[in-house]
This record gives sequence, structure tokens and C-alpha cells, in this order.
Amino acid sequence: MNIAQINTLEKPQWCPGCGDFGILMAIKSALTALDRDPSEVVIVSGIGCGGKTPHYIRTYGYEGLHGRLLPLALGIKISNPDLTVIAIGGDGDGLSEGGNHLLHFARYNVDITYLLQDNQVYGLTTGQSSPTSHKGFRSKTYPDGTPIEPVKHIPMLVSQRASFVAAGYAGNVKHLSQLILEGIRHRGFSFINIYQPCITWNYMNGYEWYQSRVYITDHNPEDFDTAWQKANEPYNTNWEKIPIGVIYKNQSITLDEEIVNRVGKLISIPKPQDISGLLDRFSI
Amino acid sequence: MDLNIKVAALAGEGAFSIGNLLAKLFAKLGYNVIAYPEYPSLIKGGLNVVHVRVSDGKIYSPIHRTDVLLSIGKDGYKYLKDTLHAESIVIGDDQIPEGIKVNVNDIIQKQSLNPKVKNMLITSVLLGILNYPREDVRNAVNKMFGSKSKEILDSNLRAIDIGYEISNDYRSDRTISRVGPRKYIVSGNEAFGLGAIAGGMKLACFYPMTPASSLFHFLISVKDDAKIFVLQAEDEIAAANIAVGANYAGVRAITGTSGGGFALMTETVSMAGIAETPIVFFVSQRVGPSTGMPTWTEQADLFQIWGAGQGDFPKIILAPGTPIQAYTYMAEALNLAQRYQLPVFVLSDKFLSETSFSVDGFPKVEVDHGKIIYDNILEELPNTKRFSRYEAQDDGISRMPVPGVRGGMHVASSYEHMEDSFSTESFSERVKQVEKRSRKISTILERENTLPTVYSKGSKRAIVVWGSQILPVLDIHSSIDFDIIHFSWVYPIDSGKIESIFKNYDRIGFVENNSNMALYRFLRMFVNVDADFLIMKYTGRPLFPHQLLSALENLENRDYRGIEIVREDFDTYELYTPWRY
Repeated sequence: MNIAQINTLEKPQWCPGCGDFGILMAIKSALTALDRDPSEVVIVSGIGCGGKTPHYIRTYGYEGLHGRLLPLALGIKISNPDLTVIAIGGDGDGLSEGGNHLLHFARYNVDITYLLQDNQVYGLTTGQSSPTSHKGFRSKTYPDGTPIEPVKHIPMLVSQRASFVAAGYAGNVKHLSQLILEGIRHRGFSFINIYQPCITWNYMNGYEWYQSRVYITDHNPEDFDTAWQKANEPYNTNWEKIPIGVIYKNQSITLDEEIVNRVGKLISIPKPQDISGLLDRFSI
Repeated sequence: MDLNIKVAALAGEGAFSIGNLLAKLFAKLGYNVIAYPEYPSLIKGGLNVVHVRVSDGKIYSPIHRTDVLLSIGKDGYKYLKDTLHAESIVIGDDQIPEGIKVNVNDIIQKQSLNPKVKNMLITSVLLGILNYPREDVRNAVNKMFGSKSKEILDSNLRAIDIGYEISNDYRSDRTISRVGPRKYIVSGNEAFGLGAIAGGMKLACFYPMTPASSLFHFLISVKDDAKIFVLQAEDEIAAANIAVGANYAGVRAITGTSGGGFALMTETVSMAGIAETPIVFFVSQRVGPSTGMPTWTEQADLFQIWGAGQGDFPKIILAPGTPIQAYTYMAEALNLAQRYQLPVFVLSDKFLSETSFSVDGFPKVEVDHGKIIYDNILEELPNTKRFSRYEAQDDGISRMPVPGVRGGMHVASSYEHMEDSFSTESFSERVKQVEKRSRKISTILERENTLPTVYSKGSKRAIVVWGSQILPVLDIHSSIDFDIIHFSWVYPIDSGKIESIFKNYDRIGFVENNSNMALYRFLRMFVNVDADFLIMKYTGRPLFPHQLLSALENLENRDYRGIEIVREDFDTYELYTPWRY
């Protein structure tokens, strides 16, 4: 598809300078590299600033519930595995409200690409602490500084041997776009954590803060031990070094493939089904 | 003939499989059968009872009277002794205080049988006493255990012969022979499952919860033949969202649970409401509040279902009452969801879900996907334009292309939106969408048969029931001077037409299996009706026909005015209080 096919008339109304603009650009640019029609792509989101993304890309989309984008995306993908399904939502959405789903998606291994917009703060609800807020981060919730450690979700996903675990940075659109494309092309659950400044609510982790810390890693992501090291590097170095790129990957059969192998494709025009062959079990 | 056999054993000792075997054996010879199971929320040790009612006439629900008691252990006798009468036959192991004592452990040891055949020994004694054709029992057991180990099959076949031999000392002059063509034995949940499959359901998502689980267990047991997939999600929220996602993608998918699990699905109901995604929720009610009494029955959750989801949006609530209705309503729910693009609720309760019934067969169903678009849209969608997914049609229903359809790009949104699906906070667009959605209600009332079923005897008095409680009322209908009004379509309500039905009667009474008179209070929001009498029961068991009759007798003395609360004739404190085990 070309960019004109997926552009919209409406312009996103995010804060000027928001990382969401770069992410939107990166998604669109990754989509144009795919040999697909816009009607074959579904973008699923939760609720939050980034949750508005499906409205600004003219594909199919579902803007669902806060925290529930993953099961919604799974339902779409297993129903019609021919679709390219991308889920996008924030750190509050995916790690607080939807944390349970993320744990299980590491094992479902359904072939969707999940972009987690990690800006360490709640944006749309006006500046509360998020599950990835750094300890000490002053927020509406904790004006004296967040008293609790952030969730370590990238190591969590690596420990669960999720199929594709990556990190990108909203300030490097070109790299992010390639990463998203790689995630879409990877068969399996592709998780991409996108470090992203929130210029309105996050005074601590802005573009400058990231610029000196983020670096592109070139380790072998198929080596679990190295991947584990890289996944933990931000925590081990007290955020001095933040690797971006593919952290870990492995290839195994996906849930959507399993379902096709077992019962065929679920999608078809609904028709009455003959149940007479099922009745034998009800008599003796 | 109206023979009531109660099979009682501790959990894990096979009361359910014997109940099911007996039901199928009688149905095989054309008898009508009802098999209603009772059990506590325990895996090993609690008393399980199956109330098997067999008749050559029409029957609808289990009854209290015990003509035959098959009891392993003494608890079954203790529980049911008050329901025995002078002619009752009691057969059990050596622990029963009276009746035909079969020394099962001795026989098993001496004949080196598999220890699991205790029940088959005792059952065969009964079948022998009734002169049930032995060859049919052997064939049935062959079918049941043929695929399992030869040792289990042989043990069971020998148990049959031993049981029939023992019965020689007790033969009755009763003979069981064919009274009609073979019938099937299905539980309510199996009928719901068959209806879903017949109606083109391809995906079922659930998180385990009694009494909804057995619907999914059945679907799993036929998944390969039916070419469906059953998915156990990480929680009910995920199950509901997966089902919504599938329906958005054009696949007929259902989710199901009981009240506690449904509470978690509430937010998803509202999302399906505004995004206008078709979805069927199966909710089998049990005794609440909260965890309540998980394995017992009640119909108290109507307000939870009707009120589920913030904001105002149309929905449909069905409460089938018979196994055939369970089948046809489930299939039709899938049509209604796609035809009107909204959440449809199919309500059951433990009583309907888990009771087994004899049926002759199931009718063919029709499938209609309304304005869902599965083929490419031929008209060009110019660049930057979205498909007008939420176009304000007169009937309230817009066209819904599924992903993959060329030219149908749009966003299904939990936000209020414009006709082209873009989010909006415009007052006029908001009003347009609210009114478009609510027009579905008048379209539904115009196009669907939403009226209750009236079983008329030309009486000036009527009993009103909903869902499964039609069953015990139908059982006594021939002996009472009442019409029956059965609400199996619960919402939306055609107020005018229902009021004109109620106007035909001098006395109207509601009979409900709950303490909140849910249907009565619900109807009063839409219909001008004052009940003259209420009969309610909330012990955790369904209403039994004799209880209804005596409640009606009491009311007759009061000119059919007032409230009757039905209690049980005995208590189960010693049996069913867990710390006593």
C-alpha cells in the first residue's frame, strides 16, 4: 500500500512534540513496506493518548477498552489469520489494567504485533504515576515522589520466552519503523516497548534524558543468556544504558496456525450447520 | 407410568453416570425422562443425587416422591427417606438401613471385579426387578465402555449378569418394554451447545464457572466434528473481549459464564453496545449473592443482566425454559446479534443447564447475518474517506463490513463517533447516534415475536413465569384452573401488547425461583401490572410440582391474594455443611 491510501484528513490532536507523532509515522511507514491492501490491516487500541492512533491510519481498527486490547486483537487474528493485526496502547493500559493479559500473551503466541507506548506516566488522565514510573518520580499521585519500583516487563517477557521482544525509541522513527516492520513480519507474538517522552507530564524522562542513554544493540537476540542481560541492562545500570532493537526472539508455531491446523479457518459466511451427526452420543 | 428413581452416592462414586445410563436406557425404549442432578461444591465426598423421572406420558420436571432409591452409602437414604412411600423399592450396598442390601464389596472381591462397578451391580438389580431387557443393557454398556479398557467393560458386563441374578428373588410384575421410538437424552447446556453449532457458531471463549462450564465441556467434546474452536481465556474479561474481536472479524462467537464471571464482562457489554459489535453472552444463573451456593439453582440475576454496562444502548435478553427452546433460542440469538448488531443475552440457570431431558430430535434452524458485509464492496472508497459504518439508517441498523472486505475501512469505537466512525464530541452527532441506536428497539419490536407464550385453558386466572420455571408449572397445568404466561423473550418489551394480555385476567400471580421477584419487578418498569399473588422459592432448588400445588391451595383460601414462600420439606444441614465431612 502507499501512504496516500492510509492517510486521513483529520490531524492528530496530541500535545505538540508528543512521541505519539513519531510512533504514528513509524507505523505508517512500516505499513507502506508491506504488500497488503489497507483493508487487510486491523489496528486495535485501548484507551489513552496513544489509543487514538487507529483513527489516524485508514485501515480497519477497533478502539476498545482500557487494558483489553490484547484479547480483542487475539479474537480478530484467530478468526481471520489472513489479517495483519497490530495492537497499540500505553504503559498504564498494558501493564496496570491489562497486566494479566500480557503475561498470558507471552504463552498464547498469537501472531500479532503489540506496540507498548512507555512514557512512564498517565497522560490522558492528567499525570498520575504509571507502572513504569521511576522510583522518586513526582506525580499527581505521589507529589513526594513515587515510592515504588517500576515494573520490569521486558525481562518478564524474556523470562516467559515470548516470541519476539524488542525495544524502540519514539525519538528514532527510522529505527522504530524498521523494528515495527520486523515485528509484523515475525510469525508469533511480537512485543515492542517504545520508550517515549511525555512532554506535558513527565519532567524526568524527556528527549534529552533518552538521547544520552539509548543505544542500538546488535547482540544475537536468539541467545537467551545475552538477551536476559540486555533486557535487564536499564535496571542494572540505573538507566544509564537503554538498549533498543530486538532483545530476544524465538520461532515456534503460533496459536492462529494451531487453530487452522486443527479446525481450519474460522472465518466464513455464517450458514446453518447440520447437527445430526452429533446426536449419536445422546442415546445408547 | 410415572416412576421416580433417585440415584445417590458420594461424589466420585458414579451417581451421575448411572443417572445418565438409566435416563438413556429408558429413553431408548421411548419413555420420557427427566434427570435432575444435585451435588455440593466438592469433588470427593459430598452426596450426589440424580432424580430420574420416567414416564410414558408428558413430563417436564423432577418430582419429590421416591419410588426407587439406589443408594451407595447411608447418606442417600438419610437424605431421601422422607420421600419414600409404602411401595418404594430401596436397593443399596450393606450400609443402607433397610431394603435390598447387596454386599457389593464382597461380590467385587470374590469375582475379582473392578471396584468401580458397585453402581452397576445395584443398578442391574433394579433393571432385573423391572424386567428391563437384559440384552439392551449389555449393548448400552458395550457402547459406554467399549472404547475403554477391556477389563472395565468385562467387569461391567459381569456385574449386569450378577445383578440380574440377584434380582430373581425380588422380581416385580412390572415389565418395561418399548412405548415409542428412541429418544435422545440431552442436558440444557448440551441443547444450548447444539443450538450454537447449528446456528453457525465457530468460536466459544470461556473461563470456567459452574453452571456454565458444562456447555463448553460439551462443545469441546464435539469440536473436531463440528469444526469449532473452544478457547479457555485467562479471565472472563479476556473471554468476552476475544469473543467481541471474533464477531467484529465476522466470526460467530459466544462467551459464557455465571453471575460472578459476568460481573467482570460488564464493561465489554457496554463496548459492544456503542461499537455495535454483535455478541452473544450465555449466562447460567446460580445461587448468589457472590459465590453463594455454586451448584444450586436460582433465577435472581435479571437486573444484573439488564443493567450490565454503563450508558444507554439496546440489548436483547432471552430466557428459554425448555431444552428445545434452549436449542432454538441459542441459534436465534446468533442471528439476532448479527441482525441488530448488539449484545444478546441467553439466560439459563443451574436447573435448566444441568438437568437432562428426553427429546425426539431438534428442528432445523435458519441463519441470517443481516447487514454484515462479507464480500468486497464494489463502490470506490476515495482516499482519506472511511466507510460510513454508523450511517443513521431509519431502522437503526447500519452496514457492517468485516476486516478484509475491500473498501470497508472504519474504526469500531468505544468512543462516541460520527457516521464515518471517527470519534466525536459533537452534540448533534452524539444525538444522531443515540437515536440511531435506540431506533433498533422499535425495529426489534416490529420485526420479532417478542410476546410471551400463553398456555391457555380459557381461565380468568394466570400464572406468570420466566425461564426454566415453566417446567414445574407445566407439570401441574392439567390439574389447575390457570392460564400460564411464559416469558422466554424478556427484553425488549412491547408494553402495550403485554398489558392487553394481562387485561384478560382477574387474578395474576408470579411464580419465581428467587427472593427478589426479578421478573415481576422488571416488568413493572414497562408494563402496568399489579400481581395479586406471588410464589417464591429461594432454597437453591427448583420449585417442585407438589410445592406449587400446595402453595396454590393455600392461596385459594385467601382468594388468590398474598405471598407464598416455599421452603423445603427437610434440611440438609448434616449432609451439606462442609466442616462436617
